[in-house]
Amino acid sequence: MTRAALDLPAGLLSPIEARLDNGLAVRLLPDPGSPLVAYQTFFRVGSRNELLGRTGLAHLFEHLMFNGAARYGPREFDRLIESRGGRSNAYTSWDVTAYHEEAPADALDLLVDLEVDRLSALRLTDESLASEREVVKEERRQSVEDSVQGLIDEELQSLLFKSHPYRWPIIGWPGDLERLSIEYLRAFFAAAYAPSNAALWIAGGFDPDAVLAMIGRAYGPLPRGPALAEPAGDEPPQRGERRAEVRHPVQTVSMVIAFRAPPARDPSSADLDALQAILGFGDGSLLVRDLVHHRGLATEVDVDFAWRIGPGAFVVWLELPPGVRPEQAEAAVWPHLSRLADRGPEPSHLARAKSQMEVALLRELSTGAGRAHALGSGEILLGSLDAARGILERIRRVTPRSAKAAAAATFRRDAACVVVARP
Amino acid sequence: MSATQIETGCLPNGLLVAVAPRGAVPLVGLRLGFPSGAAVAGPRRSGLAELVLGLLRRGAKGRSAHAIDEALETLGCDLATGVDDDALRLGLAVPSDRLAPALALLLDLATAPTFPDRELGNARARQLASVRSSLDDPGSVAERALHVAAFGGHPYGDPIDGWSRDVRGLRRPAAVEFHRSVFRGGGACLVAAGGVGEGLLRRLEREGRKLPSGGGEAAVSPPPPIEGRRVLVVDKPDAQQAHVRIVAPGPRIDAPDLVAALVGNVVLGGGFSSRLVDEVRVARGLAYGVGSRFHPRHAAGLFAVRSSTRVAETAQLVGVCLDEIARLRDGGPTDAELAQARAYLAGSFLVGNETGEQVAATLAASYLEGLGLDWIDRFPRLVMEAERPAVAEALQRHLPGPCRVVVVGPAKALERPLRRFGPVEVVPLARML
Repeated sequence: MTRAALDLPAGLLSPIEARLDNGLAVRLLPDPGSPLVAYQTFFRVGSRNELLGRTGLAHLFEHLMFNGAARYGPREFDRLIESRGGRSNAYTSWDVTAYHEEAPADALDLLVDLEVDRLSALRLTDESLASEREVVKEERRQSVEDSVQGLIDEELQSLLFKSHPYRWPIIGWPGDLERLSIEYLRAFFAAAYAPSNAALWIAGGFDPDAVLAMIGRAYGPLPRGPALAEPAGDEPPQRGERRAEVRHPVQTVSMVIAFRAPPARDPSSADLDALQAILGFGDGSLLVRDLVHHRGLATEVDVDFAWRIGPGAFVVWLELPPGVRPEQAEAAVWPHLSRLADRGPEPSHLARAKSQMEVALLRELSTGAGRAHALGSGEILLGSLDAARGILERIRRVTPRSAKAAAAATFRRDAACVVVARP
Repeated sequence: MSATQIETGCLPNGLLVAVAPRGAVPLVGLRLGFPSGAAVAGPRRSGLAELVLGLLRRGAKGRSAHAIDEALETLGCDLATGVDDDALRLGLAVPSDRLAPALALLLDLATAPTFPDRELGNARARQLASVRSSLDDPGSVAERALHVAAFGGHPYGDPIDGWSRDVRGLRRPAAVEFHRSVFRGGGACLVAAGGVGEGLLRRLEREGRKLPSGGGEAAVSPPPPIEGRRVLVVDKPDAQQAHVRIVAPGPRIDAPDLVAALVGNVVLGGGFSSRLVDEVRVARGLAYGVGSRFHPRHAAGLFAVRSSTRVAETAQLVGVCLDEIARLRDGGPTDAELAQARAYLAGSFLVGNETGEQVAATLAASYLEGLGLDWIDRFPRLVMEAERPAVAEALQRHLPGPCRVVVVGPAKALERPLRRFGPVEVVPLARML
């Protein structure tokens, strides 16, 4: 059974574009009927911009952005947003640091004021650094040291990458956090948080002309700032399978089988998106159906291909039931990967995967925040706004033949990285 | 804000059907909800509701699990299921032009599951493995422990995915019987919201007739109150952090001062500028996250503070949280705090009901909880009308006093410093299986 292509409302993926003289990219997605506004600022900086010995910088800095600036002091940022019915948060990835707020539409002027205040005059003190360092250590204990997934992922990234900055954890190595001084953080702020390194996305119920004028007035006086140095991205070829083991007192054995993959801007990344869905989206996907439901060789399967500016990673994650050895589970995964590489996906499997991906995208685009994030992160990771606008077409472009070529280039035994966590 | 447009109908089998337009994206959120949940499974049948929900798509109305998977995935859908103590939910997000086959499939799964023996055995084995696996995550262990600490042997004390000793004994007759008694029209609802078109209500009515009549909310007797303050330590010797929960009974879903209590809780531990965040994270750097919540239910509500910290600081964290609970309970919020809490709660509700899926979920939940379909418009109004005396009174009534402090971490380092909060009981991790 095939399905007609989905129709999206006109303008859903077409932002109003502007660029201020200081380099700030402005993207507006007005939705006249909406009572809400989503406000997202993307800085083209992440853990890839750090240096060995100073890892965790971008993520720690994200925490410090909430600790007060010149006009709005400590604890004011969240208090003011929440007092207008909004909420705010942020995340740091390998490539991007993003700050996002959602609020009733009449709070838009406050959001602009708060964001400009912290960009123009952030307060960086030894006290706030000391306190946030402790908070980040707690975050690390929670998400890495007490988490099987966190421990495996940390091991995996350093197995996949020998030279590229992707090899260290976004949250940083614990010792490095102690080495990050206020002076070092100030220099980082001047370069990484300059308007020329940022894109501002606003979606929701507002008048775009009035908002463009407001943004110009508020952000215009900020200085352009120095260009952020492009990090070295060389990665030597992998010359054989790599394996690692994590010993941890776990009840359940988990493992990953992973491969280095192209950057998101490479055309074949759309094929890897589809292969991810074919292998692991839903109970009918190849690995879930076979390993979980037919043979009982896994209790959970998760397949992940995350977009990155630099080299990507295609990861198959398995949680094993009692009595199943990692070797058995791994042996059951390989025939699926090899078949995709040798023959490509069945057309019906690819059609189902596309249908699932389209609906998942539609769900994301259902909120202003989802639209701003899909397009805003897409612009940075896919390499251009045009590429981001084509997020639906990139799903439709994939053919069994193109997916086969991507599988053959990626799922190679001599390029596999395998990590097992067991007691 | 204009009122949410809701078209409704009621079927002879007791099912309420409702349709609400929302947003411009051609996607519809479908929700089918039933007014009984895990608490009615019966003695030594913890985990049964979860098992039954998972099995609906493993064979129904002459279709194999594989055929159902293919049908769902061709439509681009995934079946979302949810179970709590008092309700069961099935949900789909589907493009508007594929609604008819998706709706028919949803009702087939809910009304005619076949519970094949092989699938049941596999699902039970997976559920057992999942329970075991959850012991690797200290936060999950704390969530299993807090219910039993607050509610003891009452059905609300059982984890939703069950105790392993119970799950091992679940067989097909129990699954068939649970399905037969709960998946009925009485008190249930079928809601569609989002990019909905003309005539959808009639279609919901046609499909909704597939449900047998009868059913309705099964009464669950209230659990006994708790007295004094006690500490339960679940020993996880390898943990780098201690996960802390402070729990006590809270307001029931029908409590007249429910909204006032929810507003007051925002001051204590909702959002990111609450007293707990200020004192625990900002002032002391003790934790990455801390928050508090009331979980209202039919027979008894639950109040819970949740956080985690390095093991050596556990007693400090517990002390700060208990102090802040007592300070708010005895002193009430300031006018400024109250104004902020009202705006935050009402605004968050607005942000959380932007899409058809979200609206369908809210409408179904408020109907099943007996709050009425107009809760989606009434709730923000009631929040903004909550006055300081009413909020202060609700906090005095519902913030504990007597409570249970649950800590998951290395007992050897925790037992002594935690004694200052009350008698400490240490149990091995395996007790949470």
